[in-house]
Amino acid sequence: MKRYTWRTGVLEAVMIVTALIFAFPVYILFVQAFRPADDTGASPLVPPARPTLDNFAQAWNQASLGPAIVNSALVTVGSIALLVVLSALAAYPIARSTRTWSRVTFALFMLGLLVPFQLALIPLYQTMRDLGLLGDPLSLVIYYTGVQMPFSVFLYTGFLRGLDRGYEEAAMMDGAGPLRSFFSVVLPLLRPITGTVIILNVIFVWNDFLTPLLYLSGSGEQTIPVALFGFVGQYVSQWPLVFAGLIIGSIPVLAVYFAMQKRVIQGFAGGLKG
Amino acid sequence: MSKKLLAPLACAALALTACSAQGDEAGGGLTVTANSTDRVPMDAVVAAFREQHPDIGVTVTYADTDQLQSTLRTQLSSGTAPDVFTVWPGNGNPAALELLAPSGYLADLGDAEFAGRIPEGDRPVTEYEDTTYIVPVTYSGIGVIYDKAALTGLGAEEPTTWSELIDLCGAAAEEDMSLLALGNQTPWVTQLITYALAGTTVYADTPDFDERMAAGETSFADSGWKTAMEKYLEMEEEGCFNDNPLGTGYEASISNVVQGRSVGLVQVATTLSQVQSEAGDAELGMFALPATDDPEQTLMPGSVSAAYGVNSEASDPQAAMTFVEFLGSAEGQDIYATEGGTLTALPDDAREIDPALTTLTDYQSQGRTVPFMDQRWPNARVQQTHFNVIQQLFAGDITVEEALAEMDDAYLSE
Amino acid sequence: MAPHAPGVAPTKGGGPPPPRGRGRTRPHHLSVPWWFVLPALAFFAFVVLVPALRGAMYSFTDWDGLAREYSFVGFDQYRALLADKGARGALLHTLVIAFAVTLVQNLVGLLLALGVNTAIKSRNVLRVLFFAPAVITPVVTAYLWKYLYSPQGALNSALDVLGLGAWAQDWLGDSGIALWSVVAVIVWQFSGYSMVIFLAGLQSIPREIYEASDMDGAGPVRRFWHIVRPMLAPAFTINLMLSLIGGLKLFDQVWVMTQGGPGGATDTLSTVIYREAFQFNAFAYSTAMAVVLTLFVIVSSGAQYGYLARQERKNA
Repeated sequence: MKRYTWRTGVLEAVMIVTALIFAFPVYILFVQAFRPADDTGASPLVPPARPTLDNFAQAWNQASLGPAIVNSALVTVGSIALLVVLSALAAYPIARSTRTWSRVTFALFMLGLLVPFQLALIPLYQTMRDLGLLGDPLSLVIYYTGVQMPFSVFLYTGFLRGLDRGYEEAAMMDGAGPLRSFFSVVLPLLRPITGTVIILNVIFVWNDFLTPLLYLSGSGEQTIPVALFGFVGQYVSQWPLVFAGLIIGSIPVLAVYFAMQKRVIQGFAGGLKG
Repeated sequence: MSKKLLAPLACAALALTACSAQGDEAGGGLTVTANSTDRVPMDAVVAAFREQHPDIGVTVTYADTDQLQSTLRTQLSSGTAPDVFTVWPGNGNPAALELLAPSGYLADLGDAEFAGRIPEGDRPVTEYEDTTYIVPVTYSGIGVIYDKAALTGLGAEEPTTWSELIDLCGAAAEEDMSLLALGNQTPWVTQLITYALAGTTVYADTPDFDERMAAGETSFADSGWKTAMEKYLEMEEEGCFNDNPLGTGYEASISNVVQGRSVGLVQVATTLSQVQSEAGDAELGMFALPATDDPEQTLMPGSVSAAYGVNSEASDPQAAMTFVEFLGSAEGQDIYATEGGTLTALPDDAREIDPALTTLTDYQSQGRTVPFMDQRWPNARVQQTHFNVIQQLFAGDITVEEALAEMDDAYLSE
Repeated sequence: MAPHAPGVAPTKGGGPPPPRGRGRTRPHHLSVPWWFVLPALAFFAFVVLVPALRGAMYSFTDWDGLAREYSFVGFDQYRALLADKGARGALLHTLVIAFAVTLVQNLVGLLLALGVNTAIKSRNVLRVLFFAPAVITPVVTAYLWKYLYSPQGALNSALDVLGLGAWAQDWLGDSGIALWSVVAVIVWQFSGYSMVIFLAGLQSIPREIYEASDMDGAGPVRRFWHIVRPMLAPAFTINLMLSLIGGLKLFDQVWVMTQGGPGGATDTLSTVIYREAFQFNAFAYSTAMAVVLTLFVIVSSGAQYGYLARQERKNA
């Protein structure tokens, strides 16, 4: 490895200072969330003298975050599972074939990345209504699977293109059907990029707001962002309370991120090879 | 990897179906949407309603104004709107009565018990083509909400003339405070002071201003609106407001008052409960914002504020009507107003009123109120333009003449 | 959009070399099952393509988003769009945001990646930390920054404490700087994202190249410019594409922080589209704008991709 010189030390100091500056907003977020209600006059920079978990408890109750977390989790898991399987499946022929249809299909998917959400919003809503899916979290699963398909296909295709065919050819058993070969041979090879696909899609699905609000209104169901925003709307000037709620809502995604962050880097590295 | 995926996938699917089935049962009764600012009063009303009608289930969804208007409209156009929902009185607003009623989305509430009790002055905003379509629930007004201790600390009383007001601004500045907190970063806040001033500068002399505008006989540029905007800017020059009003939002403006940096703020009466909840024990008052040196001329903007309509295609119209009648009943109105810190829209002499709101009720009974101006505008663009030009005026990007010209254009645009 | 034009040989490096086995002894052409794409295509078409086409169809009508009936009006909405002063301002802001974000975010991301990809001890922790903001809901970060940016907020207080009180501004209320304040938030949130992509690119540069350049006595700057930068071409492609598209479509953060204000100073095409559709009943007008925005994104990302792909081929 490279040597650790005094210059490296200076660099390290600079990087750490940069990191501290970057972390400043998050510091404020936490400082405020732990601040007791009677302390709000104090400077926002100073940590509270008597930090409290009251805000978290209150936010949890008031925003009905429990059921919302369950809904968010179910929708997320459902969408991600479908996305991983179907986009990997689709990426395989696209990456392996250079025929026209493959290029056209890929271009079609990429077109989806460019469309702003407002264009498709209401027509899709009407379709969901006609199918009687409104108020059912399943509608969200279908939505996210469709909406995130282009990006996931993009990631898998890039990775697959860089993957040496030798693996598949070496391990492919004669006589096995294509599906079976795919699941037992190709999919495991995709593990690095699957990590990326999962984490990036989890971030998007978990944090999406307008669509769950639209689709689940009136059903009594909520996902986390919807719950948080009803909550913020009500307690709008009580920042400590609001921030506590926001932190609770962000914990699940952050937990997944910290658990899988190694995969994210590896996945990107893999994705770049393509 | 495939086997490992199938199991959780199946589980998720099952769980989701179970979840939605549960959701169906919970939401099997009435569906209601309300503004998140009204969460506390609405929850209380629903609780009381369920005690009287345990057989009718009620599910309420809350969202803030912005989201409420966008989701409601999408739902209405797709035929999946809730049974009962927030409707804004009059016009001038994306989810206002006069925008929804013509398309037949609202049920006729003319036969309801409360319909006959709606005060004459409010009928223009609760009716469309002589049919009542909404139940008015709260009545609000725009004035200066302030901390009484802070005012006496300045050695002053509620100002009743323009000159007294300006002097007071100076007095506050000397104490290193601002008289009025101003949260102009939040769009809907920008309009309040114009309304408060225009109530007097426009309607004291021209009470039929709205009719004349509709007939094309006058315009914003050609009226007391000009005076109102000029006075608004004059207040800024005289140091009446906190620093950086464009960088201060609604929430921060409230904090300014609560933390003693401002004496008060111009707001709708419904903000009273918000300020009170943060200010703890501090005693609050409310007075009308003077615009001239003749106190008798001062008019306060006052209108029906929160109102609800019934979906013309509600799955259970009977239950919806029962709920809405409860909202219109003396009991329902009382609960809503008490929990929300507002006035009831349907007058109830027997009711005890928050002392801070007495000014508003006095003006109301003396007939010295003017409806919120946007309720009488023909489209939602005027209000949005108003927000925009006030922000631009404060940024020094346009002149008052240009601002009024834009509002006139917006008025005529649809 | 793949960082890899079809027809160019894939770069190797996916891992250890494939095992020798019977597969290697004959040219085995895997039959590629084209029908694998069908399920993915079905979801995509159902959720994105078909509704978008229908939405675009509405742009040729006068539907107000609410009424039960509407009629076809040809290109009227598009004509109105050309005449709309506010929309032109929003277009300008959209472009400014997209280009500023692309430039600054990638610059910061690159610098961070270069800094982290050294012998410093804290590099793993730093890597995780810098990426973390990208994981938080954009609406949450927007709310957080709105609070930080307020005139009595934490940012001005911090400047004060550091003796830089004179630099305190009305970050979101001053129409001259509001747009840049918004750009800063996006950069803060996503620099880590760009950093990670650059890091992956850096880590794929074989060590021999560094050692060779060391022997040549090349200084760090020369080494970067002539050796590292070309090898980062794929990383640049991905990063620049993603940030350009994302910047052009940006909505959540602007809406939460400023709603396009003050006085329209931070309005973007996305915020205007939203407002026209949901606040003004002008749904058909708004979809016309959405169609224009889409065309815009297609054209600019197509142009950018063409340029970057050429660069990649040059440097490969």
